[in-house]
Amino acid sequence: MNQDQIIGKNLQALRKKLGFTQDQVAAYLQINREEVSYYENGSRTASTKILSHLANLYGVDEYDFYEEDLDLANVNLALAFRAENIKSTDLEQIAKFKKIVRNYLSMKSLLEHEPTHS
Amino acid sequence: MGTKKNDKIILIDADVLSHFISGGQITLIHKIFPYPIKILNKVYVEISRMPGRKREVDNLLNFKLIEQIPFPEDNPEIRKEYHYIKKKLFKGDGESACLAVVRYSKDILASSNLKDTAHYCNLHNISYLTTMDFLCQAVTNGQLFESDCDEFIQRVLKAGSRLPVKKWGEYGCRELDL
Repeated sequence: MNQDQIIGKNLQALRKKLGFTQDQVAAYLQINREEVSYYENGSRTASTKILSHLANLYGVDEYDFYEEDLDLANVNLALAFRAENIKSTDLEQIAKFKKIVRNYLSMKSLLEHEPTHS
Repeated sequence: MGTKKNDKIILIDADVLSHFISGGQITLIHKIFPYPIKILNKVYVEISRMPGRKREVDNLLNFKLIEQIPFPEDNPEIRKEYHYIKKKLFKGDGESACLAVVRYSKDILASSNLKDTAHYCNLHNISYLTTMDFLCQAVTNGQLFESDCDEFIQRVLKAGSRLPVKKWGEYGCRELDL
């Protein structure tokens, strides 16, 4: 599998795990549903901007999309809940909130890795 | 100092540009080293959000003193490295993009946020320049006097940015191998 195919497979797995439809994700990204499908089947490269938006929505880091054996149970889903009957505007708010949670987790991890000064 | 054609470039991060704007020497920056200075679109977006910075950078771009270039979205190695740096080294968007690009090119990184960036650069044999390196070279070239550097440092510190020293005399210039 090439890089786009690995990313695509993970995008699809995460979307399904969270219960989003391609239409919902497309509306959130303000693109066509077909484009979401292209990204998920690896026939088109998702830009870093698109990946950033999707990482916020799915509550993961962009780098998680590159995992060849993405065990979804082990991915740090910042806030995973199924999203049924949710509008695209709600998705924007969810993505913003997840980004805050993700940044908080990153900062926490960073502080844990900070060397102690004596 | 003339610009070398068809050679490596200096890829500049937001912090160095910001220092030169605060330090009042932004119009000198492109004359210090003989390599063209370029700014990634991701860095431009970042610096445009800083108060009072967008106009200065736009002027540099409009007068073609520096050039904006797109992040190479079509290079899978660079894209992956960019995301890796963001996640594992906890770097911001612009700095991650700069590091990823210079890792897979012969370009020179200009960044002052060297707490753990220097380790990454040494690990991957990346040439880098800090704000202080620019000042050292400008003094060597006769473009700045030591008093100018002192004033520069004071202005940058007053603007709330960090530099390794508070006075020019406290700084020892390093030898550059570019």
